[in-house]
Amino acid sequence: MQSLFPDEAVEELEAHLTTGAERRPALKLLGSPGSGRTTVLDRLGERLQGGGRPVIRVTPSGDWDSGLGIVLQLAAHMASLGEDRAYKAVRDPSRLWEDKVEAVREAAEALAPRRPILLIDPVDSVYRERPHDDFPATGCLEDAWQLVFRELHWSRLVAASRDRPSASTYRLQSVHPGASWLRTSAWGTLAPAADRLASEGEEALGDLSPLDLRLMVALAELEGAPFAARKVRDPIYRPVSLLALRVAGDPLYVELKRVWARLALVRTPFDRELLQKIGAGGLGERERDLLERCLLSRRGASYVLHPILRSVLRSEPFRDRPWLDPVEARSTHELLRNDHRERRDRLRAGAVSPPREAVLHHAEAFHHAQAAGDMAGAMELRLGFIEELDALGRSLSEHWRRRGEAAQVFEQVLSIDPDHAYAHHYLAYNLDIEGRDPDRVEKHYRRAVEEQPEHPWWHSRWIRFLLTEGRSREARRAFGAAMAELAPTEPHRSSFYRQLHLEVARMALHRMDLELAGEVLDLVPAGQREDLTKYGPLARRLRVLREVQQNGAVFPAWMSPDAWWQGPHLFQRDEPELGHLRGWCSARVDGTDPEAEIVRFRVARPPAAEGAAPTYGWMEVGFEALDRLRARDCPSARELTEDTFVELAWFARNGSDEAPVTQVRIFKPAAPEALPRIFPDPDRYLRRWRAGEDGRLA
Amino acid sequence: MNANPIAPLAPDALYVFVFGPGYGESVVLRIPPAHWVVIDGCRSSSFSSYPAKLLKDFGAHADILVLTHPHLDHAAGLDGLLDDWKGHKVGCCEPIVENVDEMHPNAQKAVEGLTVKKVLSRIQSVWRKREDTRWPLCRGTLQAVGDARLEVLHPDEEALRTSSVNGLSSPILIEWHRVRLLLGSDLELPGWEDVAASRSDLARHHLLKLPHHASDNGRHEAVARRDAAWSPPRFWIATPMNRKWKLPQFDDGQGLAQWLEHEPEVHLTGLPEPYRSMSLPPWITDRRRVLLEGRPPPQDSIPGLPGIIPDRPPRETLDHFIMAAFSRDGQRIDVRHGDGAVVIKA
Repeated sequence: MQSLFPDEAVEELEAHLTTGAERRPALKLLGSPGSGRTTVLDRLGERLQGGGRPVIRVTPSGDWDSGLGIVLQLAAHMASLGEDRAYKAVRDPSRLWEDKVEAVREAAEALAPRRPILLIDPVDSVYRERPHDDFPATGCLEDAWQLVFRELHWSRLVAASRDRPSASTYRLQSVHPGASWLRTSAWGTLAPAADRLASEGEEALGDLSPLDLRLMVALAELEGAPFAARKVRDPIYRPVSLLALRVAGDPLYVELKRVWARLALVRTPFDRELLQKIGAGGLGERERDLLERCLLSRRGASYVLHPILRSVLRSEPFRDRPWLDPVEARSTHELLRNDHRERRDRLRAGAVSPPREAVLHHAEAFHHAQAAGDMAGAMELRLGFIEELDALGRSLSEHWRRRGEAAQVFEQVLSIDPDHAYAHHYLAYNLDIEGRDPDRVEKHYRRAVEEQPEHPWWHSRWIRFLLTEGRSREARRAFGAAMAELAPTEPHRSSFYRQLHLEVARMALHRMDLELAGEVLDLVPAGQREDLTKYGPLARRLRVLREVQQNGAVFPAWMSPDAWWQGPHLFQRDEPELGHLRGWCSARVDGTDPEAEIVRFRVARPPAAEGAAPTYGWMEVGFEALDRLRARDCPSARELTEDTFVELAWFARNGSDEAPVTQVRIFKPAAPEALPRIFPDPDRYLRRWRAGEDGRLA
Repeated sequence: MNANPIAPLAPDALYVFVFGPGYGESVVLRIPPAHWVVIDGCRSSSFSSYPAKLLKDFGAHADILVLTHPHLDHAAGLDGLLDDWKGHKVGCCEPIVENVDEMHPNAQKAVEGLTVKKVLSRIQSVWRKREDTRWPLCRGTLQAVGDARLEVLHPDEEALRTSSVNGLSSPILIEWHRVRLLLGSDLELPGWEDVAASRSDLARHHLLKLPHHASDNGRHEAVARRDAAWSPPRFWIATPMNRKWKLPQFDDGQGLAQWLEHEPEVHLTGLPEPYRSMSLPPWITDRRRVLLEGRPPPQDSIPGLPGIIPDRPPRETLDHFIMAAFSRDGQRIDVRHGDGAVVIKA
């Protein structure tokens, strides 16, 4: 693998793409984030433009729609070159993804004699932030790569930071401008901090990219240069993480934090006008310098928030504590939707730009409309992919909890593609969450499994729906069918057992289908159990419920069944006031009769020997007798309430002829070991029935 | 005892089986020629469902299944009967859902609450899948099966809105030719006031399953007192409740004593003692002897305490039942008692 500095890379890649690319038409420029790959592509693109061959630049969003974007931009470019069949197919909402890809493939073949050169922007964030495997657009990205890297007979170059996609690779060497750059660049109000950092971290700074250097200047400004200099070589925290932590934790920077978070939603280069709309105009001078001189990069006349400054806000520890509340996130997406829509309209009206530019803004406008949960706007802005509707439905359901609208979106998907497993599943799921229309829930869960039987999650939710309805026998059959389908090819990933076995077992426990829960948990391989944090609590609760169903409860629910017979739990074996332990048992107050002055216990004595069973029985004790035996801190027998758990133990002094003395102590109530929460609420259908909201049941 | 101590059944007789193993009750009817009705369900440590075991022993399937109110002692084991339901009707009370789950600090409560929810969910899904099976239990609704007619006596619309769970219980009147059976479920006095106001023939029955485990609070004069215009003997059956307060109560002036003022005997499917301690051969006795001898002796002593009544091993044949058979003209032609059953004389 050849390593090149940016200037060398431009030269070498130009030469390769213009002369030697026929032998190795797929190239990859490998470099770390911030190493200047985009700049290399910009310069390369400018130089190639004059060579007489069409140069096509594709910029994946690095998000859910990357695959769609590659195909769309490719088609739009080809349209600007006079080959518009693919573009028409891509924009046709009635055509499925495979058709669109095929149309692009055919158009690309038609253009091949003109020897186009394809440049694809960095894709590292694409691989890091892609949605769940079940999301169809994920598969679209794979298809798009397959098209551009395996099937096109064009010269092409992709910038990347990882091994994928595989291609002949050049490594881009980062330029390390070092401490002197800190002294010579324009830092505004941050100049003293940059200068001190240059002095404190002279040597170590030489290994940092320009982006990391700028972030370190910001850190030096906020935390002091000595701190920043110490952290330059921190093996754990990257500059971006340190800076995000600092900004997140200080109320002084709440406005900077807000603007950073809003900019993190912008996926394309932007101008000063948008920067002002986002709120940068409201920042003080120092914060504005931090934003514009450290966080933002310039790309020609535009600004860019580097992807790592976007993705850090989606990683731990910020993922669970978003910097924007939902209302502000939505308003930002709405602002961006409007901005991109206006730019698209201006480009269309002026018709001075190739379609690609307008299409880019159009795609961004759709993205922000769906992210804002703007169903009407997103519908209007659709480019023509079914997968856009998948994303809109997901956004409405997951982020905005508007299940009814999400269901409508998935219905529309199915009106175009009746075999779309994802839409069948999520139409069912959104109806299911609401506890509405179980006939349709059942129909569409079933169809999802039929259409995509290799998908564990589809089976899992279908089985859980059956359990919710109390349909044990069918649930058992469905689980058997799932295992028959999946087990032979499943490489025993923990995610498989988490999605199928643990989820099914959890719901089976709730429905008191203890036999099924036990069978399902037994199928989790021993080697996987420790890695699955939910396995232990589920297995323990199963033991408790089985025992209680068979024999009744005699221990409080918080106690692990492993500890049950390791008692006594409330006494020492030698009690100073009582003597040496002779025996003990555990019991639950089943009821008290204040008139007869009797307390009734369900009671169990521990196994008499290793491997023996405990002895269960009943015991009735008069108030007076019980009060004689209670420990000082126990309530009186009359005050004992149902379902109080107690321990009885009897003691005798060694060598004494005295009769043993029994004492009763009470277990303090506590919550049992937490189990994974069941979602949706397993009683949702019953609640609707009770509320008279299911008209057919009233 | 053989595998099925009750078979064979006379082809043209109406059979009533009342099960009550100490906690829970179930009534099963065999209506000629081969119609089966299950009203409520119960389980024990020996059988996960008494009605399911009975039907299996006879190779039968239920035509009608009813849950009279959503308490575990009436719901347990019904869900299994509803798997692959091919019957005619499923009757169900108002679906009150207790806010309990497996995170309850007392696992006993969790097991009970979750089991009821499962049965209700199962009924809801059967109703959904087969519209024709719906039978919401409300006063005046009727179902015909064979030559028999089942009529729900309670609750009315007002009670549906205002009652507690027991107040939603549905007593059912069954009429087959000249035979009248009144199954009291767990309805207590305020509910019986309503029922008695709506009809005057409650005392006219050949068989009564006493309401609410023969408690004081389940006894209403309109049901219990003899009707001069009704000459046939009345056969009374009660099921015990061995939890908490224990029902029926045997002391003078309480529960069973009050019922026995009207009839000379009450047939109990068992004593209100722990199921596993009382599966003894049927016992004919009186109320006072029960007070003296009805409790099994403790065996396993703890110093300073009366000792533990230990559980007995599970059984393989049905117990804790009373079976009565009637001919078309209302003659009681057979009565049998399962192990654990007790006949209490006045």
